[in-house]
Amino acid sequence: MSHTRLASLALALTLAPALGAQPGTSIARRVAAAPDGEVRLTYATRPDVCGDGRDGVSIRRSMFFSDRVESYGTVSGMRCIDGPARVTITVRDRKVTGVRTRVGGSWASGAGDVTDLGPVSAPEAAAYFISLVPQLEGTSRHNPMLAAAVADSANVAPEMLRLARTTSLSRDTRRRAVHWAGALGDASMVAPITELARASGGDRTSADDPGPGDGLEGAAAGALAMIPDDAGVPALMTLARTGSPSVRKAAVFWLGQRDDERSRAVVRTVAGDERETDAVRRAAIFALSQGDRDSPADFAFLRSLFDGESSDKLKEQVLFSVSQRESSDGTRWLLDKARDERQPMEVRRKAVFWAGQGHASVADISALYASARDERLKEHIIFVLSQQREEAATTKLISIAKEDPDREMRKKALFWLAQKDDPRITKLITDLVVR
Amino acid sequence: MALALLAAAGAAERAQAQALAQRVRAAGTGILELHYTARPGVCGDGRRFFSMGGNTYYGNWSSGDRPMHTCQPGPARVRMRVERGSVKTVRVAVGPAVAHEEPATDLGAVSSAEAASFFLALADTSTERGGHDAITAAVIADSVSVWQRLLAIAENTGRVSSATRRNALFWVSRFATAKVMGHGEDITEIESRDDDPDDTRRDAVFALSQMRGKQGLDPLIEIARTHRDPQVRGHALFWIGQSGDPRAVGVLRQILRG
Repeated sequence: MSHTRLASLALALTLAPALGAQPGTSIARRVAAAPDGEVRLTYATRPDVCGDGRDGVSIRRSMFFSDRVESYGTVSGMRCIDGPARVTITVRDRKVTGVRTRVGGSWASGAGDVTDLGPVSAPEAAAYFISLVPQLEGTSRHNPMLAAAVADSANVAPEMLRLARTTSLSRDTRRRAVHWAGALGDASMVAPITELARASGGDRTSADDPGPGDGLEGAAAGALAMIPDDAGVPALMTLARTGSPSVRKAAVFWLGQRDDERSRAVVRTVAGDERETDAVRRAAIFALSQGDRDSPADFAFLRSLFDGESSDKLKEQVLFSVSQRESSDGTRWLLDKARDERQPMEVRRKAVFWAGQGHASVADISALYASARDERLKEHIIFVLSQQREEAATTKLISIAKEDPDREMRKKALFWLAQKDDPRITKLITDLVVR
Repeated sequence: MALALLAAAGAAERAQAQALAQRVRAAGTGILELHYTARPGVCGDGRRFFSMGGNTYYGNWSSGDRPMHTCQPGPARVRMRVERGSVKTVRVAVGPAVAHEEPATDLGAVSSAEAASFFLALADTSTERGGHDAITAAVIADSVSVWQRLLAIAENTGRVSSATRRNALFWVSRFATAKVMGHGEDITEIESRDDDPDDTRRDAVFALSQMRGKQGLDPLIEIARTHRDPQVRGHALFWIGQSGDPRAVGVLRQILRG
């Protein structure tokens, strides 16, 4: 912890007893007394919090940007430094209308209509911001939960769980709250969050969406994955087999985010279980594409699943998941499937599409075009080439447009070339007319 | 002397068209029908569609129909829905007389010049859907030069609906195509030819018409003005006529008046 933060914390703790018995009430009084404008306050942050001094804040594996974009994983591309929380409260007509949380950095000087409360107690700040949640929801995109979550020496997980259970709050607020209950909690949160996941299953998920959905159960499954020391993982594994369909989908999604073999084995079991619904199996197959590392076991499983599977939808999901592999074996396999005349044409077209969306090179796709005999496949390869950004793809399309013996292919190539915003293409096509 | 005769003929057509307009107004409310001589090379089934030159069909038919087998030459037959003397819709057919479910007041045969003048005036003044279809009714009239008035309608952004202007521009582009291909104003002749030996050029013209941000329009205009092959110029003119771009009117005017 930096000296600045220690000093802030010490000052805050010193002031805390004098600011009122009810946690957060003294801050509430001081904010209520402030004129319209900005109210600033500063408090110590948790040891696992850092920020970029602007709108980027990281807590454990959660990152927030402008409090709108959330990401889970490791910090990359953000200069994340320790520092105190600097929170700006917007007041209009004596009411709080917004909360903006920054970590590190310094206040901009010379701003008008600013009331600076200075350093405050972190636990008291947490309690104050938790108390703001019901009154601010739906009115501000800057949620006070982040301001509460970063506060040092405050156990906010139980309060977050309480908010997540409060059915009068919006789904979005409850989703955020359950996330924090998991991310900031400990093993004691596993049972209540699991219960919340089971109780809220089935309300918001679409069968076509292989992701965790935007229901409370998806957030609860995610929260289990966030509990430190993997304490929530066994419960997540159980939910993957015994929850409602939407809970099972969410559980396999979050298990798929993990790189440990036990979690992935559970996901593979669900993906290969013919008694499971197609929607959950698709979610599991999708989840196998979501880990940080290429897993040979996953790849072998997906290949085997593809070969034994009769559902085109599940096969397509396998094609997608393989396309997400970083290593070249996945691309080779996809191109093989595109060439495989025993496969249905639609599957072959999907294979080349996902190869193009993945890591297939223009040379790979061009070679496939050269060997393709079916017009429907060739047409699709032309489309896939049109979606590549490399200059070589445009060159190949030009070559097809000018020289392919099949007029339909020349026509398709011209059409897709015309969709490119490139003056050279205009000249090329014009030259074809005036030659 | 010749100019004086032409002016007199024009005045006579306008007077006839006014007389026809009066008859339509006098009908009040209901369905009216009339017929007149259609251009040579136009045929239809008398109800749903007509064809120009045998390759291009206009109208409605289901995929199971085979319009070419039922396409018969015959007069243009137009049915209009009129409400309180105002034409709301115009339906154009060519060929044999066929029975319709809805009975109509038959205004009988009118001269093609009278019909063209009436329908062009209708297109020029109507804000209804009928204005759009009135253009087509005028275009298929036999032995009448309509492109100059179509051009004026295409340019009339103040009063004429955009759908009517677009339809006028489409037909103007067909007349421009007929001209560059050496067919004068015989637009049925261009419809009957589909013998471009180099399909790639046709496809390339189409590709230019599909370019994002109308990037391809300038080259299309250049091709329409200067390409050595009239077929290619015709393809370019077709897509210029479809573009909806304000520059199209000027290009087509220049070609037709040039």
